[in-house]
Amino acid sequence: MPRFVKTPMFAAIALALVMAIGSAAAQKTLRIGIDVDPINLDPAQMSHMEAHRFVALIYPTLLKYDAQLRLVPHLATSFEILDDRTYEFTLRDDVMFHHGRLMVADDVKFSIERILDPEVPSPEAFELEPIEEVVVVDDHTVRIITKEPFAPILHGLTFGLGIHAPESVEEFGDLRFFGSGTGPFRLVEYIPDSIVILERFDDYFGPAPLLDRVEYHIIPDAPARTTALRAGDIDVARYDDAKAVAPLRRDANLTVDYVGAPRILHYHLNHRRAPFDDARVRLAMSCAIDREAIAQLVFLGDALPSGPIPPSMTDWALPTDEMPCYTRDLDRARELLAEAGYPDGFASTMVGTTRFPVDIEVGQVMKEQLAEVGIEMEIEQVEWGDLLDLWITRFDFDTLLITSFTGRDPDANFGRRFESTSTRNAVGYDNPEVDDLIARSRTTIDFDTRWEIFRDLQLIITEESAKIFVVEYPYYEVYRDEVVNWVTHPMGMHYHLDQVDLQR
Amino acid sequence: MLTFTVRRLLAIIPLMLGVILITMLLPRLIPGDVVTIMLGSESVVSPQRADEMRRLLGLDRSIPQQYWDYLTGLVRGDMGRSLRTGQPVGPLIVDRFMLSFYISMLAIVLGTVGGVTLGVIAARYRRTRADLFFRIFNLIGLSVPRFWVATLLLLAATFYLAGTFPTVGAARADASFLERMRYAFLPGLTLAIPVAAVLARITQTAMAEVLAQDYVRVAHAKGLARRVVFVKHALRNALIPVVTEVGLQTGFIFGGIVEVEVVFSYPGVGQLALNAISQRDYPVLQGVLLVITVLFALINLIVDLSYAWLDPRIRYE
Repeated sequence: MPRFVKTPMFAAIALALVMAIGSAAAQKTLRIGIDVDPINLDPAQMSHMEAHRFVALIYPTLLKYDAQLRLVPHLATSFEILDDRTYEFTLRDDVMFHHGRLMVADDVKFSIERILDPEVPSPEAFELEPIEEVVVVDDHTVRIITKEPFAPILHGLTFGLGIHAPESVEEFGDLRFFGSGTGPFRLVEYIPDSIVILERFDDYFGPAPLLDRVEYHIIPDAPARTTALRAGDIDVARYDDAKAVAPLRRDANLTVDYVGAPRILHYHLNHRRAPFDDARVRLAMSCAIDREAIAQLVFLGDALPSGPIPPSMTDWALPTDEMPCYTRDLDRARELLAEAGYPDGFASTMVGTTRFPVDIEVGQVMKEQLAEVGIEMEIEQVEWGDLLDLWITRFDFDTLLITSFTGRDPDANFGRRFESTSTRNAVGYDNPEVDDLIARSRTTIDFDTRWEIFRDLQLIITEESAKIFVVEYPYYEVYRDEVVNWVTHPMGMHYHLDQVDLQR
Repeated sequence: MLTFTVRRLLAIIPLMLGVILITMLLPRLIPGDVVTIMLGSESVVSPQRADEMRRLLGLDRSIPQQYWDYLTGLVRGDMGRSLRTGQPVGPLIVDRFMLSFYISMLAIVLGTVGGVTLGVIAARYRRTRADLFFRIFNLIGLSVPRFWVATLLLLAATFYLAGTFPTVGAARADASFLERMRYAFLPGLTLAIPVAAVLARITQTAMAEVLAQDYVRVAHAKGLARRVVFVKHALRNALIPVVTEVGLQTGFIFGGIVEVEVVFSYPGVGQLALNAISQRDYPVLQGVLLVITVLFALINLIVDLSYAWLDPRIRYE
């Protein structure tokens, strides 16, 4: 190599090395690669899962979900149900806000009322709308009274309510980019499409965090995330595609962790349109689909067949073998189709969104499977906003594929989706018996009675094949060996970050 | 020259009015709006409440009214606020544009220097065996998709140049110039390759044409060194089509920025525009498209003006 090339090249490499060493200071910084921008970090403005994850970390809630998706204490040490409308929460007395003030019951009241304020306006408000009044009993006791008995409120309070300080709202107007919470890490900087930087909060009420700093790098492209992870530019990366993760399992420096996420693939059949108005046709389609094969082909065995409640919601989900047609049965499918007057099948369309390419892959497998009983599906791929418009605003589809997080209370799996009066009943399902059960599930506070109601609902919905539930998606987090004590939470929450350490 | 420049600058104004109108109408034709997307798939919100949110964002006003408000805002230097994040659009675009500017600048500089050098060399060795390598480079440079080159460079940087060039993100606002270039280098190089290929080919052809002219033969006959003839006499005259092409390629670079920014997770204006489309964030999208249009018009003006410098026979009156 000629000298005039060599010298600058070595100089460049040396310079780069110096820069690399200089940046890796003594601080323990964990770098996490995520795929989606949170868009808005205000606890009153969360509109998708990624925002929820950040808010849960920066602005802890009264209760939180453990890895089995059960509710456990967080800012509240306990709660008591005084009557079927009144929940009394006892708060910890050692919770410090990031700006250095103890959290009191007034802050809980403030946070709830801000989310419910029509001038804010919050996409999360519906979770808390059943609340009639928040009564501050003393600094560490708060009573939440609902308008009517409403069992899902506990989940609303957990998922939709990050406790934030009124001072922050006064100072910044809204908390999009900055605000004071009580989590183990405080928000330092959020640069949209780029990075969220958190720093250790020394007065955290839980165990002292081991990391000094956490950086969330927003890397939408999965191969780029993989490259960054392998290069050591990031320490942890999240994925939802089994095939993107497969090559990482062979990398000796990486651990691939996965759990079933409370996120299921809903195959919507529009009951407003023939032939999907006929329950026999819908059940035939459910029989014709081979969920095991989908789990193997698309998810390389990491997914589980799912009913209306995903198996990861261990408290509520019924085993799928108790539901009709969860084992593929082509003969039954043909019989049902013949009974309904479609012995040779029919042709229709299936809409999916390019935002979730895995959904489309499942759709392609299902298309082949349905073709075996003569149902010819044409797949139509649309962009996310377009899909929301077809699916939620206009109900303009024959069949439609979409995954969504259904975690939280099972009410989210039924009430919103199947109650005849719900604005979110996209398939147009109408069954008075189901409406009645849903209404009772909300007013029944007792767990065992509620459990029975949801068992009945799961059986009716699958028997009628109101919608076809396909599989529960796996959720992956892949981390480098230096990362210690990592826990992969089904909802992708990072509650455990206070325990995580780096050993370089 | 001055009148020409002023006339061309004034011509940008009707262009802007048209572009604003189009960028205002087109995104609104895509189904779904910012509220639908903000509410996402899990919220349960009554249509009345959703309309209330639209009203708070000013989306309930008629399109002519929104057009007028936007124009009067522009005159005051106000490009509106992002519907999604509430940030003022002007400063947001400036920040992101600076980041993309580093990439495009690198791409233009690397592409032009590389392409012209290669073209001159190729002209020198035309119809020899070395020409074959040039043709192969040309073919590959023109036909390989940018996202693929980007991914390859990303892998190469990771496994062979670990740490030299960052593979994720952009330099922070307070970083040094060198640091900014370090982040912009790989995306810039990705975009430079096709530019270099196009320019090399054009330079080669133009050079071949010029080299066949009498005055070049005279220069050779005078006994000037070959290098002097090539660079001083031939190249300058061959540059006119090249400069035109550099101007056009700048436009293609803006187009390519979206791709490379996604692959390198580089938060420039390309990602900003892409996200604005998917979020139906009209003011941001309008702002980005407007700025790109104006820039493109200005670049073309600069290209036209540079002809006069390159070829004294060209005069603008």
